[in-house]
Amino acid sequence: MIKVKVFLSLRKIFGQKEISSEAENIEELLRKLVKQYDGLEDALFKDSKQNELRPGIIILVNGRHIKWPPAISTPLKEGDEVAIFPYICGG
Amino acid sequence: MYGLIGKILRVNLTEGKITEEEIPEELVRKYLGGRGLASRYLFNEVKPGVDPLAPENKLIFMSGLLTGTQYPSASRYSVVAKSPLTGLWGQASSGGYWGVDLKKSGFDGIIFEGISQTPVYLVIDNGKAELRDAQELWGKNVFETTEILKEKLGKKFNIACIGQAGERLVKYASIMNDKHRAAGRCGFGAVMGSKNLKAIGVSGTEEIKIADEEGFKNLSEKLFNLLDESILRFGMGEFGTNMVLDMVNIVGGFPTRNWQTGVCPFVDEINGTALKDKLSPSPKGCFACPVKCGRMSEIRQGPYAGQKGEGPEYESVGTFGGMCYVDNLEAITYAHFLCNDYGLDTISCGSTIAFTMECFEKGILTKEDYDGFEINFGDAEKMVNLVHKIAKREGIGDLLAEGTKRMAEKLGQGSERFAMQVKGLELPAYDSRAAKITGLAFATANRGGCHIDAYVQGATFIQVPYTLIEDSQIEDVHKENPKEAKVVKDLQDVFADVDSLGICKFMCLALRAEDLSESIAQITGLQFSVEDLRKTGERIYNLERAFNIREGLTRAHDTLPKRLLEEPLPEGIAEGQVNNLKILLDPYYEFRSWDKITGKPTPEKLKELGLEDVIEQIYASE
Ligand code: SF4
Repeated sequence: MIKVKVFLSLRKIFGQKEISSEAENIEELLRKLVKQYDGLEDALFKDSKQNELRPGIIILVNGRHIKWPPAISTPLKEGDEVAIFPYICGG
Repeated sequence: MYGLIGKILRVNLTEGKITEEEIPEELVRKYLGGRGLASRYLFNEVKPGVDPLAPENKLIFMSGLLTGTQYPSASRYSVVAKSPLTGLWGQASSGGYWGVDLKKSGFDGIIFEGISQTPVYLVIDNGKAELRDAQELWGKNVFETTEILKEKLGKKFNIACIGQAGERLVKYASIMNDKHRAAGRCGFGAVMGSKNLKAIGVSGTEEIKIADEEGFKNLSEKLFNLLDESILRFGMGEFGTNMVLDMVNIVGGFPTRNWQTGVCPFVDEINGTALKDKLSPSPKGCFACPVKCGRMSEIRQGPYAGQKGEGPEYESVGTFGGMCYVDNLEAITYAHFLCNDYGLDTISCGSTIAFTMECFEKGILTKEDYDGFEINFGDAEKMVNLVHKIAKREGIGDLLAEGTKRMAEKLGQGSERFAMQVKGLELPAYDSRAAKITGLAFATANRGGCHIDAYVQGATFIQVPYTLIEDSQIEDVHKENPKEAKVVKDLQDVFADVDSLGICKFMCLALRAEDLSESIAQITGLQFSVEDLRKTGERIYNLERAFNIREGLTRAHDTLPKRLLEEPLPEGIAEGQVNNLKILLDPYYEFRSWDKITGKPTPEKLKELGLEDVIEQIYASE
């Protein structure tokens, strides 16, 4: 199982802070989630081709940032924690 | 003059004398305005060794070169003086509308010198300035002072003032404007209090002249629209600065229990989402800002219900929440409101309380020391209580009013290990062990432990690539990579420009260096390239460093608290990490052309930057 934590405005789309899923890599995970949650495709991707993330989307695996697109194929393994932020700045 | 009005006021408080001075064109070319220009005046006029609270210290307010124009976020002014907290060059910047109204009143800046015998306030009305008696205002806090003065002078006047904390010379007292906006860091409220200066009311209709009006208008509109549609606006507009909290916690760098760990278990009680749900804030922005990160909030439940104000910002939640281990957002918010009303810097205040909590935890302070007073991590009510005590210097509050560095010097017993300050300025809510070059930025910042001197957490904690500098890419935040010391240097330099222009650093996550240099060329009519921009920032940064060198600063001061250097983070993704500063400090000095032993800018570097006069000042005793 992969733990997926979502933040800020994405919580409205998911209706919760955290879900569990299964996937071999980030790309597969995102495509799976987009099918499951209404409005997520629009929130994450530039268009329905799902090739390019919207600017500002930040994804971390186990607390480390991954870079998109080079790391789209970042592999996932049992017990990993993926965090998705819609945008972040401030502080 | 283009951009600036071209005039400053000099107010001698000892003699009650006010004079006007022209700003030489040459100074604008070299220092722009705001922070840079004020720092040049400070360097020239405040001799080394002066007590920051003595008449010889000067308190300089200066609007930026772009302040008051339609350039996005061009709202800011800087306050520059020798800081009572660090004993070094200090600067604080604030937004809102006051800096704009200062410029419209007919002056870019004001230099206060001397000390008034009795409390006074300054009024500037369309080019006419006057000192007035402030005895009836003395003892009042920021909100009341602002209301009384607006009633008295008229609504069109905008007020900057101090509260009780500044009057009582709390070392981290702030200067507040527009009621809720703070020139917070470095303790300038205490400098203002030491001068018996309660407030400054400004109003006017002076116009700012722009050399290339059309070009400047087009550029400003283009950037405004870009920012209006940017992720900055959607994020900050909805959740405010506190939205960064979850991210800082996930990467294991959210200082918790006075930096004993970087992971906080109750973030969902205090993060951006909780703030939105519990306080239902409405967005509020500074002059000309498309992003509007500010929020007016109301506490709706608990003992502080009904209290209203602006904020809290991420840093207030980080210090009163994470560092003090308080999970009660209402108490955090109230502590923040109180700081604004008393005129206290929330970062230094919250951090000093967290330090005190750890002193009690370790038995360095005990119940017997201060009439039975004791405070533990997580005690929300006593934390709020302490804010009152600090501002009034009551009981133990008198000790806390001195800040963590002086407290640790007094208490000893190893407490300096966990006094979380650099050069006397308390650190902000980013644990540099979780993103290493953040530590270099803290250690070398001219004003002390500061996060927006280089605003490097954009590149480290958030990992948004800056387009303001050539390369801000960080390969691995857990590794000290000597090459990346240049990122800190480059960001420090360009943000010295940003503070001198009077725009907001948050915009800079989306702006390019060209967006700044072009605006300078358009507003002043001077040739001004990206290269000039880089050199100007570097010049300002080196001048400030030279001020500090003249005060006795050496390489030994460019360091971090022992906790960050020696105590590994105990949990989270950054578990086991400490700051190995030396790996970064040597290359940083090389990039800067600073002597690796003394920490002084080399004469060649100063010459290259057009700071020839500074050479003899910092090499005089050799
Ligand atoms: S982003 Fe926030 S602090 Fe910056 S100018 Fe806008 S409202 Fe003011």
